[in-house]
Amino acid sequence: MRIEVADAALATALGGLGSSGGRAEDGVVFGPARVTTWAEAEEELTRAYRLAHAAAQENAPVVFVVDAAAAVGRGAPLDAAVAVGLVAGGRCLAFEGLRKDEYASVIGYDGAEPPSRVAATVEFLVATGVGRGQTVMVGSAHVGAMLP
Amino acid sequence: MSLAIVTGAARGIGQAIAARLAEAGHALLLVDLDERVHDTAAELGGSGVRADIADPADVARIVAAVQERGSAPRVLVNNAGITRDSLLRSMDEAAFRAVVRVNLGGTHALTEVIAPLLVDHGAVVNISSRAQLGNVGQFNYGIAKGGVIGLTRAHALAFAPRLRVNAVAPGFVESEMTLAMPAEVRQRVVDAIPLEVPGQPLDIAEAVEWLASDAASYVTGQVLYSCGGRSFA
Ligand SMILES: NC(=O)c1ccc[n+]([C@@H]2O[C@H](COP(=O)([O-])OP(=O)(O)OC[C@H]3O[C@@H](n4cnc5c(N)ncnc54)[C@H](O)[C@@H]3O)[C@@H](O)[C@H]2O)c1
Repeated sequence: MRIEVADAALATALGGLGSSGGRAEDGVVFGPARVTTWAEAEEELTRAYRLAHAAAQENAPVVFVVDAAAAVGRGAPLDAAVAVGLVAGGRCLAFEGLRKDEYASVIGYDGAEPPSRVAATVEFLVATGVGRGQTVMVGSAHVGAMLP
Repeated sequence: MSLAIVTGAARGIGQAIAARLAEAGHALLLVDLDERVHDTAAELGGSGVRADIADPADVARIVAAVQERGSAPRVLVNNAGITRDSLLRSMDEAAFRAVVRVNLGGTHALTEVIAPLLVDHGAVVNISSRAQLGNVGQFNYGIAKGGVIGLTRAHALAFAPRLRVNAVAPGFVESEMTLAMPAEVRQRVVDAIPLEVPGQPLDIAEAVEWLASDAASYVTGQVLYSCGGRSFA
């Protein structure tokens, strides 16, 4: 798989599934970096576009990994914008991919669980096609709040 | 008279929002890239600024125009938006960036500079879209409008208790944006709406006016879908 995840511990845990030089034909995984300016936010979203675009050429699965708190709208506004934007991006990809059975989903990760659990979740989602267009939470930061 | 700022107000939904807010007693400062903003402002008795919300120099001009009015604004409506639809496999990076930059970057830029100027108990209303729940050909727009909801929630927390920040997510609304769609696509979209009719700009304006008013004084960080039931059908 082609994997571009900013968080170093997550990137290491996902190393068994692929790398930034991996094959997009096998699927792509993207996790944005934290951002502080609009230019950085646009850059992170554009990196997500490039990976998803490469996957779309190959009918390959896409998984976005976002910060769970940002995905429910907490934290710095631009981090929330990027995370909720990718939640919506996952929904759009799943909707657009339905006819060709192209898979997309999002993982919300709060950092409390071991990163290996995210890697296991990516493997499970892609292998089974479960959670199409949905956000699957690894951790409990979201409990009591609803996804936008 | 309290001042309301509405972006993308030259036509369509933004124009209807401006008209509704004027009826509710607000003075208007209207912003748009289209020079027709001056005609709309003249019709509604407000002032117009021709500006690009995605251009930092223009955002500074908008702030200067607000300050020239001499009274603190009460309402900001981030409505300006664009689409560049295509299937992701054929979407180019310029189309992705343009849509994200205007819809999300513009909303962020304007909120960051205008929110501190709003009076206490003022309100920000952002225009998102039902498309953020998933649409074909709108990966760029879905990300941008989902991002607007992320901003809405995070700004609602950041500015509480001084300000309220909410969003309206319209479904299919008749405007120049949607009249550009092929007729058969438009019909297919309308056929999927439980209320069986397209929305009108006034439908969205009514929702915005409510969220901006004291009637919604206990509502913040929320998304109001005005989409004829399409969000779950
Ligand atoms: N029409 C729909 O079905 C629909 C559905 C969901 C959401 N929306 C959203 O509602 C809002 C209004 O849409 P509409 O249907 O009235 O569209 P419209 O195209 O008729 O009007 C949009 C206005 O925004 C202005 N604008 C665009 N880019 C700008 C920029 N960079 N700076 C300043 N002004 C700019 C345009 O000049 C135009 O006057 C948009 O944010 C749109 O995404 C529309």
